[in-house]
Amino acid sequence: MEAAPKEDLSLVAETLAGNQLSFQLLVERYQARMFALVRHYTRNPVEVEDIVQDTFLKAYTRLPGFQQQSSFYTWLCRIAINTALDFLKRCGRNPVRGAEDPELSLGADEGAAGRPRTSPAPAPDARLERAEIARITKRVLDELPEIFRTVLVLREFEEMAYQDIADVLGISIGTVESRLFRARAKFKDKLLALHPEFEEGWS
Amino acid sequence: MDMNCQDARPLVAAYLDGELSETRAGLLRKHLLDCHACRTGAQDGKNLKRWFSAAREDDSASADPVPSGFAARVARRAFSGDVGRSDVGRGEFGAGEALAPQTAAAFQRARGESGVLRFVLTATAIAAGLALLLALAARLSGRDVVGTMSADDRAPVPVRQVIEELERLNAGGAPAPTPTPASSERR
Repeated sequence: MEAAPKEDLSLVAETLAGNQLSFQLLVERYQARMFALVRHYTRNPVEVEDIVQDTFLKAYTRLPGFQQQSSFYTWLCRIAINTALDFLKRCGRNPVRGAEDPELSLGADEGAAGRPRTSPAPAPDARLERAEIARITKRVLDELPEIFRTVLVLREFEEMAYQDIADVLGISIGTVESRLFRARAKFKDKLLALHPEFEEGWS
Repeated sequence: MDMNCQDARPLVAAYLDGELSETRAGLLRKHLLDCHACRTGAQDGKNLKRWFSAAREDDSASADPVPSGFAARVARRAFSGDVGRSDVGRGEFGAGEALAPQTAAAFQRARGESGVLRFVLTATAIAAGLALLLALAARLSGRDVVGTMSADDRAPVPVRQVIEELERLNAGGAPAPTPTPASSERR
Protein backbone atom coordinates (compact mmCIF):
# COMPACT_ATOMS: atom_id res chain seq x y z
CA MET A 1 0.00 0.00 0.00
CA GLU A 2 1.31 3.43 -0.95
CA ALA A 3 2.13 5.80 1.91
CA ALA A 4 -0.18 8.80 2.28
CA PRO A 5 1.39 12.08 1.16
CA LYS A 6 2.93 14.01 4.00
CA GLU A 7 1.04 16.94 5.43
CA ASP A 8 2.32 20.42 4.59
CA LEU A 9 3.11 21.10 8.22
CA SER A 10 5.32 17.98 8.46
CA LEU A 11 7.22 19.08 5.38
CA VAL A 12 7.56 22.59 6.83
CA ALA A 13 8.96 21.16 10.08
CA GLU A 14 11.40 18.92 8.19
CA THR A 15 12.51 21.86 6.03
CA LEU A 16 13.18 23.90 9.14
CA ALA A 17 15.22 20.97 10.48
CA GLY A 18 17.43 21.23 7.38
CA ASN A 19 15.87 18.73 4.99
CA GLN A 20 16.24 20.13 1.47
CA LEU A 21 14.20 17.34 -0.09
CA SER A 22 11.19 18.21 2.08
CA PHE A 23 11.29 21.77 0.82
CA GLN A 24 11.59 20.47 -2.74
CA LEU A 25 8.42 18.41 -2.16
CA LEU A 26 6.59 21.52 -0.95
CA VAL A 27 7.69 23.39 -4.07
CA GLU A 28 6.58 20.48 -6.29
CA ARG A 29 3.21 20.40 -4.57
CA TYR A 30 2.40 24.07 -5.17
CA GLN A 31 4.51 25.13 -8.15
CA ALA A 32 1.76 24.65 -10.78
CA ARG A 33 -0.74 26.70 -8.76
CA MET A 34 1.81 29.44 -8.17
CA PHE A 35 2.62 29.62 -11.88
CA ALA A 36 -1.10 29.86 -12.67
CA LEU A 37 -1.62 32.58 -10.05
CA VAL A 38 1.33 34.70 -11.18
CA ARG A 39 0.25 34.44 -14.83
CA HIS A 40 -2.63 36.73 -13.90
CA TYR A 41 -0.08 39.51 -13.28
CA THR A 42 2.29 39.01 -16.21
CA ARG A 43 2.11 36.84 -19.32
CA ASN A 44 5.88 36.87 -19.93
CA PRO A 45 7.03 33.30 -19.14
CA VAL A 46 10.51 34.39 -18.01
CA GLU A 47 9.02 36.93 -15.61
CA VAL A 48 6.50 34.39 -14.34
CA GLU A 49 9.26 31.89 -13.56
CA ASP A 50 11.37 34.57 -11.85
CA ILE A 51 8.48 35.70 -9.67
CA VAL A 52 7.49 32.15 -8.69
CA GLN A 53 11.09 31.29 -7.91
CA ASP A 54 11.39 34.42 -5.79
CA THR A 55 8.16 33.51 -4.03
CA PHE A 56 9.54 30.14 -2.92
CA LEU A 57 12.93 31.61 -1.93
CA LYS A 58 11.17 34.21 0.22
CA ALA A 59 8.90 31.54 1.67
CA TYR A 60 11.99 29.55 2.67
CA THR A 61 13.65 32.50 4.40
CA ARG A 62 10.40 33.43 6.18
CA LEU A 63 9.50 29.87 7.11
CA PRO A 64 10.59 30.24 10.77
CA GLY A 65 7.95 32.99 11.12
CA PHE A 66 5.17 31.02 9.39
CA GLN A 67 2.11 31.23 11.64
CA GLN A 68 0.20 28.01 11.36
CA GLN A 69 -3.13 29.75 11.78
CA SER A 70 -3.41 29.90 8.00
CA SER A 71 -2.63 27.11 5.58
CA PHE A 72 0.77 26.92 3.92
CA TYR A 73 -0.97 27.43 0.57
CA THR A 74 -2.75 30.68 1.49
CA TRP A 75 0.47 31.93 3.11
CA LEU A 76 2.31 31.16 -0.12
CA CYS A 77 -0.36 32.92 -2.22
CA ARG A 78 0.09 36.03 -0.12
CA ILE A 79 3.85 36.05 -0.76
CA ALA A 80 3.32 35.35 -4.48
CA ILE A 81 0.85 38.21 -4.94
CA ASN A 82 3.05 40.67 -3.05
CA THR A 83 6.11 39.56 -5.02
CA ALA A 84 4.25 39.98 -8.31
CA LEU A 85 2.96 43.43 -7.35
CA ASP A 86 6.42 44.54 -6.15
CA PHE A 87 7.87 43.35 -9.43
CA LEU A 88 5.32 45.25 -11.51
CA LYS A 89 5.90 48.41 -9.49
CA ARG A 90 9.67 48.09 -9.88
CA CYS A 91 9.23 47.75 -13.63
CA GLY A 92 7.05 50.85 -13.68
CA ARG A 93 4.04 48.75 -14.61
CA ASN A 94 1.80 49.92 -11.81
CA PRO A 95 -0.92 47.31 -11.50
CA VAL A 96 -3.40 49.74 -9.95
CA ARG A 97 -5.07 51.72 -12.68
CA GLY A 98 -7.21 54.69 -11.94
CA ALA A 99 -6.65 57.23 -9.19
CA GLU A 100 -9.67 56.37 -7.09
CA ASP A 101 -9.52 54.46 -3.84
CA PRO A 102 -11.44 51.34 -4.80
CA GLU A 103 -12.65 50.75 -1.25
CA LEU A 104 -14.24 54.18 -0.99
CA SER A 105 -15.60 54.79 -4.46
CA LEU A 106 -18.41 52.30 -4.29
CA GLY A 107 -20.23 52.45 -7.55
CA ALA A 108 -18.64 55.76 -8.50
CA ASP A 109 -17.90 54.65 -12.01
CA GLU A 110 -20.27 51.77 -12.35
CA GLY A 111 -22.26 52.32 -15.42
CA ALA A 112 -19.42 54.29 -16.97
CA ALA A 113 -19.36 54.69 -20.74
CA GLY A 114 -22.92 55.95 -20.59
CA ARG A 115 -24.34 52.56 -19.80
CA PRO A 116 -27.28 52.16 -17.48
CA ARG A 117 -26.27 50.09 -14.47
CA THR A 118 -29.34 47.94 -14.93
CA SER A 119 -28.06 46.38 -18.16
CA PRO A 120 -28.08 42.66 -17.60
CA ALA A 121 -24.73 40.89 -17.53
CA PRO A 122 -24.35 38.84 -20.68
CA ALA A 123 -23.57 35.14 -20.59
CA PRO A 124 -20.86 34.04 -23.02
CA ASP A 125 -22.26 33.55 -26.49
CA ALA A 126 -22.79 29.85 -27.15
CA ARG A 127 -21.08 30.22 -30.52
CA LEU A 128 -17.80 31.37 -28.97
CA GLU A 129 -14.98 28.89 -28.52
CA ARG A 130 -13.88 28.32 -24.94
CA ALA A 131 -10.42 29.75 -25.73
CA GLU A 132 -12.04 32.90 -27.07
CA ILE A 133 -14.18 33.29 -23.94
CA ALA A 134 -11.02 32.85 -21.87
CA ARG A 135 -9.19 35.47 -23.91
CA ILE A 136 -11.99 38.00 -23.48
CA THR A 137 -12.30 37.27 -19.74
CA LYS A 138 -8.58 37.82 -19.18
CA ARG A 139 -8.55 40.97 -21.26
CA VAL A 140 -11.37 42.38 -19.12
CA LEU A 141 -9.58 41.31 -15.91
CA ASP A 142 -6.42 43.07 -17.07
CA GLU A 143 -8.38 46.30 -17.29
CA LEU A 144 -9.58 46.17 -13.69
CA PRO A 145 -7.76 47.87 -10.80
CA GLU A 146 -5.45 45.36 -9.14
CA ILE A 147 -7.48 45.22 -5.94
CA PHE A 148 -10.51 43.90 -7.86
CA ARG A 149 -8.53 41.70 -10.20
CA THR A 150 -6.81 39.93 -7.30
CA VAL A 151 -10.01 39.15 -5.42
CA LEU A 152 -11.65 37.79 -8.60
CA VAL A 153 -8.60 35.68 -9.42
CA LEU A 154 -8.55 34.16 -5.93
CA ARG A 155 -12.27 33.37 -6.04
CA GLU A 156 -12.92 32.46 -9.66
CA PHE A 157 -9.62 30.89 -10.73
CA GLU A 158 -8.14 29.61 -7.48
CA GLU A 159 -11.66 28.77 -6.23
CA MET A 160 -10.76 29.86 -2.71
CA ALA A 161 -13.26 30.02 0.12
CA TYR A 162 -13.98 33.52 1.43
CA GLN A 163 -12.11 32.76 4.65
CA ASP A 164 -8.99 31.82 2.68
CA ILE A 165 -9.26 34.96 0.56
CA ALA A 166 -9.54 36.96 3.78
CA ASP A 167 -6.37 35.25 5.07
CA VAL A 168 -4.43 35.89 1.86
CA LEU A 169 -5.39 39.54 1.66
CA GLY A 170 -5.39 40.23 5.39
CA ILE A 171 -8.97 41.56 5.36
CA SER A 172 -12.25 40.54 7.00
CA ILE A 173 -14.79 38.21 5.39
CA GLY A 174 -17.21 41.14 5.19
CA THR A 175 -14.65 43.07 3.17
CA VAL A 176 -14.14 40.05 0.91
CA GLU A 177 -17.91 39.96 0.27
CA SER A 178 -18.18 43.65 -0.54
CA ARG A 179 -14.99 43.72 -2.59
CA LEU A 180 -16.16 40.75 -4.68
CA PHE A 181 -19.52 42.40 -5.17
CA ARG A 182 -17.87 45.54 -6.51
CA ALA A 183 -15.31 43.58 -8.52
CA ARG A 184 -18.07 41.69 -10.35
CA ALA A 185 -19.93 44.93 -11.06
CA LYS A 186 -16.71 46.43 -12.48
CA PHE A 187 -16.11 43.30 -14.53
CA LYS A 188 -19.59 43.51 -16.02
CA ASP A 189 -19.17 47.21 -16.86
CA LYS A 190 -15.79 46.69 -18.44
CA LEU A 191 -17.00 43.67 -20.39
CA LEU A 192 -19.87 45.68 -21.87
CA ALA A 193 -17.59 48.65 -22.53
CA LEU A 194 -15.09 46.52 -24.44
CA HIS A 195 -17.73 44.35 -26.11
CA PRO A 196 -20.95 46.31 -26.63
CA GLU A 197 -22.01 43.59 -29.05
CA PHE A 198 -22.77 41.35 -26.04
CA GLU A 199 -25.30 43.79 -24.66
CA GLU A 200 -28.93 42.78 -24.79
CA GLY A 201 -30.69 44.44 -27.70
CA TRP A 202 -27.44 45.43 -29.40
CA SER A 203 -27.63 45.24 -33.15
CA MET B 1 -37.14 40.31 9.68
CA ASP B 2 -37.46 40.79 5.94
CA MET B 3 -34.48 41.77 3.84
CA ASN B 4 -34.56 44.87 1.64
CA CYS B 5 -32.89 45.31 -1.78
CA GLN B 6 -29.98 47.29 -0.37
CA ASP B 7 -29.08 44.45 1.98
CA ALA B 8 -29.82 41.76 -0.58
CA ARG B 9 -27.78 42.99 -3.54
CA PRO B 10 -24.28 42.52 -2.08
CA LEU B 11 -25.25 39.07 -0.78
CA VAL B 12 -26.28 37.62 -4.12
CA ALA B 13 -22.72 36.82 -5.23
CA ALA B 14 -21.86 35.24 -1.89
CA TYR B 15 -25.07 33.20 -2.18
CA LEU B 16 -24.06 31.96 -5.64
CA ASP B 17 -20.60 31.16 -4.28
CA GLY B 18 -22.19 29.03 -1.54
CA GLU B 19 -20.65 31.29 1.11
CA LEU B 20 -23.78 32.44 2.97
CA SER B 21 -24.81 30.94 6.26
CA GLU B 22 -28.12 29.04 6.09
CA THR B 23 -29.86 31.82 8.01
CA ARG B 24 -28.76 34.59 5.64
CA ALA B 25 -29.32 32.36 2.58
CA GLY B 26 -32.88 31.70 3.79
CA LEU B 27 -33.60 35.42 4.16
CA LEU B 28 -32.14 36.13 0.72
CA ARG B 29 -34.14 33.32 -0.95
CA LYS B 30 -37.31 34.75 0.54
CA HIS B 31 -36.42 38.21 -0.78
CA LEU B 32 -35.60 36.86 -4.24
CA LEU B 33 -39.01 35.23 -4.49
CA ASP B 34 -40.64 38.63 -4.01
CA CYS B 35 -38.20 40.92 -5.84
CA HIS B 36 -37.86 40.86 -9.61
CA ALA B 37 -34.92 43.32 -9.65
CA CYS B 38 -32.83 41.21 -7.29
CA ARG B 39 -33.71 38.04 -9.20
CA THR B 40 -32.31 39.78 -12.29
CA GLY B 41 -29.21 40.57 -10.26
CA ALA B 42 -28.86 36.91 -9.35
CA GLN B 43 -29.14 35.94 -13.02
CA ASP B 44 -26.41 38.52 -13.75
CA GLY B 45 -24.17 36.84 -11.23
CA LYS B 46 -24.80 33.43 -12.77
CA ASN B 47 -24.01 34.76 -16.25
CA LEU B 48 -20.77 36.34 -15.09
CA LYS B 49 -19.67 33.13 -13.42
CA ARG B 50 -19.91 31.39 -16.78
CA TRP B 51 -17.19 33.66 -18.19
CA PHE B 52 -14.91 32.75 -15.32
CA SER B 53 -15.62 29.05 -15.38
CA ALA B 54 -14.84 28.89 -19.12
CA ALA B 55 -11.58 30.79 -18.56
CA ARG B 56 -10.68 28.53 -15.63
CA GLU B 57 -11.29 25.39 -17.68
CA ASP B 58 -9.26 26.81 -20.53
CA ASP B 59 -6.41 27.59 -18.12
CA SER B 60 -6.24 24.09 -16.75
CA ALA B 61 -6.44 22.60 -20.26
CA SER B 62 -3.86 24.79 -21.93
CA ALA B 63 -1.49 26.10 -19.25
CA ASP B 64 2.21 25.86 -20.04
CA PRO B 65 3.89 23.16 -17.97
CA VAL B 66 6.19 24.14 -15.11
CA PRO B 67 9.82 24.09 -16.36
CA SER B 68 11.42 20.73 -15.67
CA GLY B 69 13.63 20.55 -12.60
CA PHE B 70 12.16 23.77 -11.22
CA ALA B 71 11.50 22.49 -7.69
CA ALA B 72 14.95 20.90 -7.30
CA ARG B 73 16.61 24.06 -8.57
CA VAL B 74 14.65 26.32 -6.20
CA ALA B 75 15.29 24.07 -3.21
CA ARG B 76 19.01 24.00 -4.01
CA ARG B 77 19.14 27.78 -4.24
CA ALA B 78 17.17 28.24 -1.04
CA PHE B 79 19.56 25.97 0.86
CA SER B 80 22.60 27.70 -0.62
CA GLY B 81 21.52 30.97 1.03
CA ASP B 82 19.77 32.70 -1.88
CA VAL B 83 17.07 34.82 -0.22
CA GLY B 84 15.27 36.04 -3.33
CA ARG B 85 15.74 39.18 -5.32
CA SER B 86 13.66 41.78 -3.55
CA ASP B 87 15.15 40.96 -0.17
CA VAL B 88 18.67 41.73 -1.36
CA GLY B 89 17.75 44.86 -3.28
CA ARG B 90 18.78 43.70 -6.73
CA GLY B 91 17.44 45.88 -9.50
CA GLU B 92 16.54 43.81 -12.52
CA PHE B 93 14.87 40.45 -12.79
CA GLY B 94 16.07 37.95 -15.32
CA ALA B 95 19.25 36.42 -13.91
CA GLY B 96 19.46 32.72 -14.38
CA GLU B 97 20.65 29.59 -12.66
CA ALA B 98 24.25 30.78 -12.39
CA LEU B 99 23.18 33.22 -9.71
CA ALA B 100 23.46 30.79 -6.80
CA PRO B 101 27.20 30.02 -7.10
CA GLN B 102 27.86 33.69 -7.85
CA THR B 103 26.01 34.68 -4.72
CA ALA B 104 27.97 32.18 -2.64
CA ALA B 105 31.25 33.41 -4.16
CA ALA B 106 30.30 37.01 -3.48
CA PHE B 107 29.50 36.06 0.10
CA GLN B 108 32.97 34.51 0.52
CA ARG B 109 34.58 37.53 -1.11
CA ALA B 110 32.68 39.87 1.17
CA ARG B 111 33.90 37.90 4.17
CA GLY B 112 37.52 38.23 2.92
CA GLU B 113 37.05 41.95 2.31
CA SER B 114 35.64 42.47 5.75
CA GLY B 115 38.82 40.83 7.22
CA VAL B 116 41.07 43.28 5.36
CA LEU B 117 38.84 46.16 6.38
CA ARG B 118 39.06 45.14 10.02
CA PHE B 119 42.90 45.07 9.81
CA VAL B 120 43.07 48.53 8.17
CA LEU B 121 40.73 50.02 10.76
CA THR B 122 42.73 48.55 13.67
CA ALA B 123 46.05 49.77 12.22
CA THR B 124 44.59 53.26 11.70
CA ALA B 125 43.34 53.37 15.27
CA ILE B 126 46.78 52.35 16.63
CA ALA B 127 48.54 54.96 14.43
CA ALA B 128 46.15 57.68 15.59
CA GLY B 129 46.80 56.73 19.22
CA LEU B 130 50.58 56.86 18.70
CA ALA B 131 50.34 60.28 16.98
CA LEU B 132 48.34 61.60 19.92
CA LEU B 133 50.94 60.30 22.39
CA LEU B 134 53.77 61.87 20.36
CA ALA B 135 51.96 65.23 20.25
CA LEU B 136 51.43 65.12 24.01
CA ALA B 137 55.08 64.22 24.59
CA ALA B 138 56.20 67.10 22.35
CA ARG B 139 53.98 69.56 24.19
CA LEU B 140 55.30 68.34 27.55
CA SER B 141 58.87 68.83 26.29
CA GLY B 142 58.01 72.51 25.55
CA ARG B 143 58.33 72.53 21.75
CA ASP B 144 56.10 74.60 19.45
CA VAL B 145 54.34 71.70 17.80
CA VAL B 146 52.07 73.73 15.52
CA GLY B 147 54.79 75.95 14.27
CA THR B 148 57.28 73.18 13.62
CA MET B 149 55.26 70.50 11.83
CA SER B 150 57.61 68.88 9.37
CA ALA B 151 57.58 65.73 7.30
CA ASP B 152 61.37 65.21 7.26
CA ASP B 153 64.06 64.45 9.79
CA ARG B 154 65.83 67.80 9.53
CA ALA B 155 65.73 70.42 12.25
CA PRO B 156 62.27 71.96 12.32
CA VAL B 157 61.83 75.32 10.53
CA PRO B 158 59.10 77.67 11.81
CA VAL B 159 56.22 78.22 9.37
CA ARG B 160 56.55 82.02 9.53
CA GLN B 161 60.19 81.73 8.39
CA VAL B 162 59.15 79.62 5.38
CA ILE B 163 56.50 82.18 4.34
CA GLU B 164 58.98 85.04 4.61
CA GLU B 165 61.45 83.16 2.41
CA LEU B 166 58.74 82.56 -0.21
CA GLU B 167 57.78 86.24 -0.19
CA ARG B 168 61.38 87.25 -0.70
CA LEU B 169 61.57 84.95 -3.70
CA ASN B 170 58.39 86.53 -5.11
CA ALA B 171 59.67 90.05 -4.64
CA GLY B 172 62.87 89.05 -6.46
CA GLY B 173 60.89 88.61 -9.72
CA ALA B 174 60.52 84.85 -9.71
CA PRO B 175 57.11 84.15 -11.30
CA ALA B 176 54.71 82.60 -8.83
CA PRO B 177 51.80 80.63 -10.29
CA THR B 178 49.40 81.72 -7.54
CA PRO B 179 49.87 84.43 -4.95
CA THR B 180 49.97 83.25 -1.36
CA PRO B 181 47.35 84.75 0.96
CA ALA B 182 50.11 86.77 2.64
CA SER B 183 51.20 88.38 -0.64
CA SER B 184 47.59 89.15 -1.61
CA GLU B 185 47.13 91.02 1.63
CA ARG B 186 50.28 93.05 0.95
CA ARG B 187 48.87 94.22 -2.43
